[in-house]
Amino acid sequence: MSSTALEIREVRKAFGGNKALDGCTLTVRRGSITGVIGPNGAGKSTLFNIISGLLRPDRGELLFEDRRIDHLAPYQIARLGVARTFQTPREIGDMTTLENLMLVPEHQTGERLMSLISGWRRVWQEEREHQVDAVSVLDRVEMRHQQDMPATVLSIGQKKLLELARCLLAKPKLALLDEPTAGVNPRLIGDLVGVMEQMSRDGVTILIIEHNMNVVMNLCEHVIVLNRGRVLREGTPSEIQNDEVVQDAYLGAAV
Amino acid sequence: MFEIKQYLVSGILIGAIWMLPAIGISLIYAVLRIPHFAFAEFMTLGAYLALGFAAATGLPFPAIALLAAVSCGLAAVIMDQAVFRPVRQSGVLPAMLLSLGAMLILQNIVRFFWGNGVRQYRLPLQRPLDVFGFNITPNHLAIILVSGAVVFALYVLLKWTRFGREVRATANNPELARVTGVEPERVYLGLNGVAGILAGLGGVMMAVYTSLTPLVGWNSLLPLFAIALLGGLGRVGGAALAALVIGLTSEYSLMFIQSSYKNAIAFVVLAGLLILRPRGLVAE
Amino acid sequence: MDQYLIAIVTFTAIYGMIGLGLNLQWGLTGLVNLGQVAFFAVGAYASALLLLAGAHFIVALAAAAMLPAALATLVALITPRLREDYLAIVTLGLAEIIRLVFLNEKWIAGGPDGLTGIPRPLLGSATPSESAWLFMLATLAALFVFFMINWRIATFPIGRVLKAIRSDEILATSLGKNVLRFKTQMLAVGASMAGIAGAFYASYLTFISPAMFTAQVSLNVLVAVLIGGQGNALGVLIGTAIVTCILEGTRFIKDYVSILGGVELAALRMIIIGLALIVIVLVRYRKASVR
Repeated sequence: MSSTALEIREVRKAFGGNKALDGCTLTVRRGSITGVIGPNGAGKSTLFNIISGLLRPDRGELLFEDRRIDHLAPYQIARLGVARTFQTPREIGDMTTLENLMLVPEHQTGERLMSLISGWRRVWQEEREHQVDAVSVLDRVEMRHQQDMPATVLSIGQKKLLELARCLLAKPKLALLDEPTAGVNPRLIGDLVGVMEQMSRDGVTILIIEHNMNVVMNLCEHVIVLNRGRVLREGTPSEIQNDEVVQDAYLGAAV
Repeated sequence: MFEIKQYLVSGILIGAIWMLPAIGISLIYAVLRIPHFAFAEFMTLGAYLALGFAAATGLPFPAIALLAAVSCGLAAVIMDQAVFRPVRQSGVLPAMLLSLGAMLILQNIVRFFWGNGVRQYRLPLQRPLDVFGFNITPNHLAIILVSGAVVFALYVLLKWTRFGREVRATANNPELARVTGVEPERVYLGLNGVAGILAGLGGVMMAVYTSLTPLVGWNSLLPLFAIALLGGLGRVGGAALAALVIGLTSEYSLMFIQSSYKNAIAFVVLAGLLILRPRGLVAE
Repeated sequence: MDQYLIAIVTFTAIYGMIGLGLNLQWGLTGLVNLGQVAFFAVGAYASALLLLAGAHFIVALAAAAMLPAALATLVALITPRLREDYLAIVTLGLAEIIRLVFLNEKWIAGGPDGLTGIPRPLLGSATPSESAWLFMLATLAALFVFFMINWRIATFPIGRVLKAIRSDEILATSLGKNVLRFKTQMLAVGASMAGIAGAFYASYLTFISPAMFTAQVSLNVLVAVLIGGQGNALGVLIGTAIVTCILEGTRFIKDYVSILGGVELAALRMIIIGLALIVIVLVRYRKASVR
């Protein structure tokens, strides 16, 4: 077992003339909690989209547990053990919160066409098991009460919690969290950080995009600063906080 | 030998006829991001309106053709504002379904008033001219020349006028265009008008070349979309070239297959395009 | 039972079967199949030709199910990601090409004259009225089976995945679901249903011709499914009944409004269907944009 979960080598991605990622190289250590920060337009979300397979890099390589993934389809990458949340929450509006979660478990017998003909008992047995797991995850993010509500009536904060809940239920090896606390009730953020710390203790490698510096400081062991599609600086949270070059980058982007 | 020469003429001719409606469809696909099936039926409408105008007035044919084309442009604008504007923000699916409904209604309005029978414009019989060794009647030659002129005018319109710039900006990046002051609804309105006029003209030309039946538009549906996709969506020059390619291919295919399968050629081209470019031909 | 009523029920049931197929494809999975008539036609011709050649009806039915499924798989292979607009164009084109093939290839399918004398399996020795009655029952039984299949798929975990694919493909694939495989499967199963409906159609009428398999059929079924609401199997049946009423009802106008001839009436019928399509879409999707 190697010690790196994710390796990104010289990845480039451009949209028309806009270079979203311009030679991005970084390594994520297995079991770590790594923050990704940077001014708007630095390429953070593009990076996540490329890792999870929704975008293909123009150049460069991605390795997950020493295995090339840059040519794989998103569902294949997900099956390798990569789960992600989205910055703008995505939920299936006309399904309940619980049903949204029930999508997560892999290799469900009931998802096979053959299940219509045989194996009904197994289908419903799995359903019961998955439901138990899903409900306990909802408990952890304090969404038990919203279990049977259609996802479309959830608040933004609750939708973001649903995103995180899906991640938890997936029991992934690598979790890509895209601004998990944005829009969430400040009271809950502390609990969320606790949930993420527990995930890490359970062995999940976490890569997290965040603008909330408190969260970054408290949660992350390692921070990567992106600017203009490349890695500007890496280090511990306190190192980064005091780094002039990083501060300049934020100011420069704000102008 | 005679056939090869004649197929060249008929191929260019049918290409010239398809060119204009195809450009309209191509532009609409690029800007409004939907395959707008109904515009094939604006060909039908244009052809029959010309028939009606010819019967009702004594105007010379070119004026009637123009009148019919402009009427189609107007009808397209009205249709767009009444039916399509309310669902502008709802994605591709509702618009496609509405386009199907419009297609159905347009074709059958024509069928209701004029029936299923084959009609002809009352145009004087013409003897073919000899142009560089090819036989072609003056009317057919006029079709090719008018088509070429309109394509040139469109090219100028898109490249040099303010409207053209707005169209291109909206096709590339609607949000960016809006930020720089382009009003998308104005662009959509103008584009529907232009596409309607182009389709109406194409319909009249088709009816001059062949004859009128309510299926004039439907029979051109596949070729029009094959042309639009082959030429690159939103590209006037590309569509014009693609029209000639598809026109010539359809005609020359007659050396190998039955005439009733001409449209199948367009479908094969379409399928081939989609297979060869597995990531698709239209921007995400 | 009145002969006319038996005919209406049988036709409506057959249309319902096509609609339930489209419901799987579009209602549940979001696949924009505008060429369902292609699969209907292939099933009808396959069954008719096999029965005319003396094959056992199980063989004919199997062909009516398998061939459209194979065709659907082909469509899935050539259409990139089975994206809405591509699929719409390809299926529309496919339906037209299939009709042209059946129209022109006399050696396969009798050309414009079609095929006649198609037998009704197992009912050869029945009297005409017995045959009509029994055939109607058989059709209703098949309709019921298709209804149950739709219902099962919708309520099983697979239905959940399909709903997710319909609503948000990106989310579905990010959750590890092989979207393309699900879409292909559903396109094929829905095509099979249309094909089997075609087999029933051919044997019921005992005569088929290319003129029966125009794009209008696809659109009628589409309107039926739209009326019924997305993914709602019972709604599809209700929608089919409504569309049948519209189509049949306008036939009666001729008795009362004598100025309209056959062609005008047919045109009017299509205009009404077109208007229905537009109205339903505006009602359903206009709400989405008013936020």
